Amino acid sequence: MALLKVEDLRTVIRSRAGLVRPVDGVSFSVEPGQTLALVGESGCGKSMTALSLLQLVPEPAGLIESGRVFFEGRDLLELSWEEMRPLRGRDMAMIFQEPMTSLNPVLTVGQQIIEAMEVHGVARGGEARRRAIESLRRVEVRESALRQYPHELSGGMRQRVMIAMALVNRPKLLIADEPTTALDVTVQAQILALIRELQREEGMAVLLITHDLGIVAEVANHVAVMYAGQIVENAPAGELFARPLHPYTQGLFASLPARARRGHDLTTLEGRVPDATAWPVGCRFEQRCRYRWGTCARVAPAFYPADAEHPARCHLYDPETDRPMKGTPRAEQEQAREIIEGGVAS
Amino acid sequence: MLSGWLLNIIPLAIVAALVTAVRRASRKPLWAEAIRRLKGNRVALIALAVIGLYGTVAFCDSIAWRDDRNAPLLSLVDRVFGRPQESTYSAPLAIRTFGEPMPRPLLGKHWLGTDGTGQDVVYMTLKGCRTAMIIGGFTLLIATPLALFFGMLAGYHGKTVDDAIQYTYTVLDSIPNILLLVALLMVLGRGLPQLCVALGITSWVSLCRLARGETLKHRGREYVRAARALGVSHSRIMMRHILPNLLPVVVIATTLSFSGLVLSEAILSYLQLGVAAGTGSWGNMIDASRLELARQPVIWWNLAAASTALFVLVLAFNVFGDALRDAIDPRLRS
Repeated sequence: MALLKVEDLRTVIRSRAGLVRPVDGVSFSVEPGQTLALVGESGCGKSMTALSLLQLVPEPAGLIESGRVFFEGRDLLELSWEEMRPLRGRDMAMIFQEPMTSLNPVLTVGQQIIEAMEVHGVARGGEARRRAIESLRRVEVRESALRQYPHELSGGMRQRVMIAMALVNRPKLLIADEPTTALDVTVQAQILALIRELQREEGMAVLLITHDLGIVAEVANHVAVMYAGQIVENAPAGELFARPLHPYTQGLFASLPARARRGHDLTTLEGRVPDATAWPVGCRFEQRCRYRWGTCARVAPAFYPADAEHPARCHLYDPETDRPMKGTPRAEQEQAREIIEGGVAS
Repeated sequence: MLSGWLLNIIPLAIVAALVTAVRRASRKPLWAEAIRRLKGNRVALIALAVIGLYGTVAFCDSIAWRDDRNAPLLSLVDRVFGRPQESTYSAPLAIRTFGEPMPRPLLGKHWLGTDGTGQDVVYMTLKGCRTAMIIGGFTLLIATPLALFFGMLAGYHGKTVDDAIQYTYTVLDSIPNILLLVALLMVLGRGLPQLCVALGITSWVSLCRLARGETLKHRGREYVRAARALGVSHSRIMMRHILPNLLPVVVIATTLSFSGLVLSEAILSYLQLGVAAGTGSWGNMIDASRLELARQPVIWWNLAAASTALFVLVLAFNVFGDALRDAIDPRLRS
């Protein structure tokens, strides 16, 4: 059974411009001990999805409209704030993108780690202190950091502290929202290695939210590609890298700087993500898609093939597709695969 | 009535609490930085020294004991600055009473003369320090928790709670302060504690507004979201995470409003609504000088002493409050 199963999650935000729908029918699941990467460009709703899982969407503007989030079989969306509280930080922990601001500036590192245990009654006093030191040691932070304030630590150290805080209660699921985006490349690799190692030791599942395909290739077992509030492709990591189906995924791979050739312009995805206050009726990627035809603008695509391990939300893979010129996507796919394999080899 | 030595514990406890608070704060990064900046500001240090001087006088006036069972309770100030009571007014450094057809020789030397009841003016002015400090300090002790509690509740929870609290303090704020004070003092009666309560009720609104705004700002911060993601409860987030972050602005605001409270005591005394006539207070002295100024020749020393004492304290608090603000948040300086 999946540890976390999200079904048709919809989150809305009321804004002056109207009702924004950053998460618009998202479904995925995370297996115990596995890493699912939620990939997409900024503004596609990844972070809002993560916050919705913990029911932490910013109030009062944000609201989870519908959907179900099963965690170990319980629907979290039916729980009240207070019922949800024991789960947060104990069964499912979250680390945020900004290690600079995610720690309280006026409390010491030790106070904050110990608090994570105290609020759940896991440990207190000397025992809590001992475990705080132990968790700091696991993330390779010296013990003396316990008495230090966040501003006295570097960005990488702070993110390690955040991870130590998130892991101190040994959660079953870690939600990592762009955990390395704000960090230097060298520190990034360390943090990722650390998460992977801790995951192996603890048997913890990870929901990794990122826009960086390099990270996905390194740590993910399974990948869900998100675009404009929806998941557009869902596949085991190896499978996705070998055979990206959705034109958006293909575009993402093609535009990786590592794939670029010297002397040529970088490949980019033309156009912009549609406005979240008024999603298009048809396919949301239609405006930017090189394969588009009449149907795309009119009909929203479902997942095809519906039952397979690797579905994509694209009319191209509809068995009854009415696409005028058949065959082309396969050739494009081959080409994309070549590019990717070339990139992976390098 | 509390016995003498028990009353002495209160000022000692206050001083101990102040010292502990400052020492603990000096270990926190934000405060340590502010203290370092304050140390470089000479005007602020002078202002702080002046406040400290007033505080010391108030403290000495609060430490009191009896020489024997039947002797009156005398404070340190009473013992050092107490002068023999004369029959009526006398000019500064005079040797005879003032304004009487047959001036009588004085019993002692009075640097700033005596008032209508023959009390030494220096002594009365010093007695006013304690009253001023109690009014400022205890009023803030009442108003600050009230303001923080409601301000944080409104800012953190928003929606209905916010509406209710905002409505309450807006209504309270729309009644002219002096009118509300007069009404409250009519109900509560005259006296130092009553005055503190009344001033507390009328002065918490601006701080509450400030606390609400700051809480609103901090509520959206990443660290609050991170705390929520760790399963920290609302009340604990408010008390442990947001409150310490509000303290700098609260300290600035209370320091600046201290002087306003001392001033309102003077105004209320002028309206015969201040502390009881027997309690030495600058307000009462200024009130008494209304008639003295109409006399010929004018009796000025009473008014001069009280208003100078008041002016210097208010000035010191304002200067120090501004310096504290600069020290805590240098960005505000522009």
